[in-house]
Amino acid sequence: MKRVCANTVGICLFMIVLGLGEASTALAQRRVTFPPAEAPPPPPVKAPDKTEASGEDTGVIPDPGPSQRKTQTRTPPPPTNLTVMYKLEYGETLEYVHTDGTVQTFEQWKSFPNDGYYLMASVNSRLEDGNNYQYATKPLASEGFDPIDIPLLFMAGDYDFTFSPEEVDNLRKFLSEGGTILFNAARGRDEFSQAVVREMRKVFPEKRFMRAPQDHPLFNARYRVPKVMTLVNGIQFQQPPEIYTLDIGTRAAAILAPIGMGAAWSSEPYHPQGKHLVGESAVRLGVNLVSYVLGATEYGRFLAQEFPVYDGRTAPGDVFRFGLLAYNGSWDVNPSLQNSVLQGLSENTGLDVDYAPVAVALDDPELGDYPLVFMTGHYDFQLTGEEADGLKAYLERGGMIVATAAAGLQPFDIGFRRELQKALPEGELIKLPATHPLFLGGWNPIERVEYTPTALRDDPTLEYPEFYGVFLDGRLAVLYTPFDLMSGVNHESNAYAKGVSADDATRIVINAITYALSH
Amino acid sequence: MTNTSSRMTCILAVCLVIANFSSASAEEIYSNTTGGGAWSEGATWLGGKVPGPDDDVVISKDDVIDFDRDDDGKTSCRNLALDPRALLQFKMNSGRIVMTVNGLIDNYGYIRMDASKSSKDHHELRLVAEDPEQRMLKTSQGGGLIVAGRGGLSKSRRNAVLISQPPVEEVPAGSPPVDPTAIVESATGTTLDIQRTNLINIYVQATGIDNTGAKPGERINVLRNHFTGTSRLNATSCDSAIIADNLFERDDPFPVPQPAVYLSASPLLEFRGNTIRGNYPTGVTCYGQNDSTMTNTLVEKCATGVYWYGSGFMIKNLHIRDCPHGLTLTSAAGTVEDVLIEKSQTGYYQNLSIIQMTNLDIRDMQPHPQGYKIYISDDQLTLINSPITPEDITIPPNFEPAPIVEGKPRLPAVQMLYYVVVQVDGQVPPEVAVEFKSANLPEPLPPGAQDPNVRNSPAPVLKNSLTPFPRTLEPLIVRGWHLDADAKPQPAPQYQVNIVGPIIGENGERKILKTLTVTPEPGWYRADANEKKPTLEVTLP
Repeated sequence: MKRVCANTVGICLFMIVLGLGEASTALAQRRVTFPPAEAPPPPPVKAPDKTEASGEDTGVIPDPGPSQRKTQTRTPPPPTNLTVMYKLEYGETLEYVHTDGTVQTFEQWKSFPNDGYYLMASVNSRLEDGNNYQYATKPLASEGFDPIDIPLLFMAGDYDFTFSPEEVDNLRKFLSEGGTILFNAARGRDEFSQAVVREMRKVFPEKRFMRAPQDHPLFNARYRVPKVMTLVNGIQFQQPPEIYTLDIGTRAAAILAPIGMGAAWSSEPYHPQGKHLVGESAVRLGVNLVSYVLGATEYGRFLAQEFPVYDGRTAPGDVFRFGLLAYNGSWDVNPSLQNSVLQGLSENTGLDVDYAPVAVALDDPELGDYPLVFMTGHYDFQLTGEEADGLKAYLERGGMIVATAAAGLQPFDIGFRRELQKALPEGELIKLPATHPLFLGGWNPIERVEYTPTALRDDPTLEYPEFYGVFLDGRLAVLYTPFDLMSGVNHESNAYAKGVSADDATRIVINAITYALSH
Repeated sequence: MTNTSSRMTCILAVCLVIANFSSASAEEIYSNTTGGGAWSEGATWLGGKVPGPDDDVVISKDDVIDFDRDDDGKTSCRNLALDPRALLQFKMNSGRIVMTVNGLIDNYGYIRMDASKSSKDHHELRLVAEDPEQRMLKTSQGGGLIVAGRGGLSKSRRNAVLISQPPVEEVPAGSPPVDPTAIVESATGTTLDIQRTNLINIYVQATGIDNTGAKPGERINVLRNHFTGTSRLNATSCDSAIIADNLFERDDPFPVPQPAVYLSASPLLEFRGNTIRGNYPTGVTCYGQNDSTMTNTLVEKCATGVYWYGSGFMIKNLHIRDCPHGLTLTSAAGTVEDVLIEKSQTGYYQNLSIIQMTNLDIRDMQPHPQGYKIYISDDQLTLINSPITPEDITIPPNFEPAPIVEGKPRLPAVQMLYYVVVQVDGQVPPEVAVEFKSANLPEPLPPGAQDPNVRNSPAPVLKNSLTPFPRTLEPLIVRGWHLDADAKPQPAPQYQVNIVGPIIGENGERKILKTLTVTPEPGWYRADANEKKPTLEVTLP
């Protein structure tokens, strides 16, 4: 009898626990005031058949079959199936009360259940690169995210959310290893975008989302997208696309699209109180986003490496030391740049060098110890009054600065020209002729320069060094190019850098150093 | 008899000699293949002969020919062909340069008429062949036509000209003249860039040109030109083409057979700032034209102003004047904003379309037995802030009501939404808002459910004591009258307007400071939607 009672008590306890569980689930169902996206159930998705790095040679060789005559019709090889994206499962079960009183419960992560499917369909039909790109779904809290297998995570939604500690860790690891996450506020609800910004601070506390400039490869990876058709609260208009990125190096590791693309991708109605990209604009931007990620996987892996860094001075005495300007901006986008620059200098000129990395601020009294300092970045920036004064004093005392726009992006170009004018109002940035001694008379005469394919796509006529200089008392004090030099010097395999090829970039940098040391 | 026959033999022999002589003088002349040179120099041409009026000219690959003559009243050559990578450019800074071609121009290279550098330059290309099939400039894959006049010239003067000028044929009085049109045709893989140019009797046909920038050497821009005579424009399958600030004018009493502008299957095409005026059957026809925009357009005195068939489009700032048929949308889905239609017989015609139209104003209708202000044959029209009443709308007897789908509400055939700007005066505490609620719904809304007749409620009262204007994209919007799914007129619903204080509860509760009941009326129309004028004024005690 006692046993029976104990059993009964156990069952009761179990029921209570179950009941509590159900109750807590019910309590977790947050009621929202914005209706869920209506859509039919998603098409079946499955996990990838095999683990395979996207964008890599798959090694699939079709069976040649019996030999054919040339006149015979040949069947083209089947496309290679590549799963490149996980649509993330996250958040909670929500409920919404319709006007007729019907209460609908739904999974927050699904949003438009078909958006991932249609995005991949658009990518396949628009890229036509012989691959059949696919996606699968996966909980963000689960293990096993590897950007070499699946480089892109996709997270869509309309509502607020929070990341659990496991989700934060998974995401940080994935992005640091070269992966990318795309956040799409499915119908442009600000509460989702605000949650993305807030939660990503847990992932990378030191990083912030910045608005991608118009010349960012996100807007021209496949299509040029200078403007998009936008529908806000039922009002339609055209405007430049609005995308925010959180970068590692110059790579967009997290991409936030605050104006929704889900309705257009899924051919679903636009909600009158949403913010939507409309029709073809959304499709093209979506294809661009995926293309960008596929093209940036190599660069992502490069950035994910561990680079040797020397703790102290590697050579004593009067040797060449590398100084990189640290300022309030994206100054450190080329990992261990000093190693590449100094190795190239040492091997080609025999100069003694110190491999210790030095980041020096413009208001640092030690700035004067360096006859030449490098400066780079990919976003706009502003110098403080002290920094501007420090720059002016450094240059007037004989220092030289070599500046280059990382990835060749315009915001740095705009910021650099403006801030230089602020520091040196009398100094004029003038274009250097290709016959300037820095190019023709240096350590390695350079007549023509090979530019990266991305730079040539914008301007096929590029073939000479595109450099600008500020002269103080007849001395070249500032050497600047709006093209990317450093990713070439650093062999960064950044497919989207608008810059100079690796060899020519190294030659120019070495010439600049020898020119600075000899003048 | 013998004399006659020998005379005939002599005449025949003379004719043969003349024929032989003339055929011997017409040659096919090639450029020198060593880089080209000036058109008027013998060294530029193989054989050293400068092309004459009866000669066919071939500009060879990689040769650059500077056309440097004023052939006004003369013929420069008969047929003209440009090999791939050949370039024919009108000499710059040389004053008046006129080229007259009496045959076909077959262009695989580039033709560049750049008169943009000097106001003293005048670059003109005349197509004068009598045979309409020969009166053509055809640019094929890899080729390009770049014509640019100078900006800022006095009045409407343009110093770059493309003109068709065939020999004039006499026709009986009252009959239409012989069509003088020449075709300028550009196909896939070409550049077509015409800016600040006078086009006279030129029909520009562009097909399959990608202007997204993704394909090198491929673009289409038609900007700030003046199309006159029979000139018109056709862009088919031209992705992201830009057609802007052009003037199409036709004074001739005989209409041309096609619209002034025909756009088809060209996604993301941008059509802006254009004026079409005169005797065209349609000002602008868009056929299968999806995801593209038309802004700041004026159409006058055409038989039909604008016809559009396509989806995902946006029309903004359209003014149609003196056109018997104003705006026609069939099989269309898109948004239309700020449309003024004046002096038409049928203002707006809609068939098989779902349209949202903001600020539609139709004035000074010209009575006609078959004319209607607005004609809706089926589907849906949402009007926002427009001076339109149910009486302005004609529904045909065979109107097809929206089908009944279980679980889905039946949408009205036509509905009017009003912007509402509320001014709140008096003792206004901080964070006051204005809340609109439907007053007489058949059943009360459950907690948390959205009011189907109201958008953007509650709306904050801003520092200027007003709720947001439409330009903020977050104005209060309420539904007025509508024609239901069976096209039966229904009056505007009543609304309870609550002036509410700041949020006081965890669930967003607010204290109601004042309540009133209102019904939307035609006077709520805002001619200038963003004018600082309230729709309603409320004074708090």
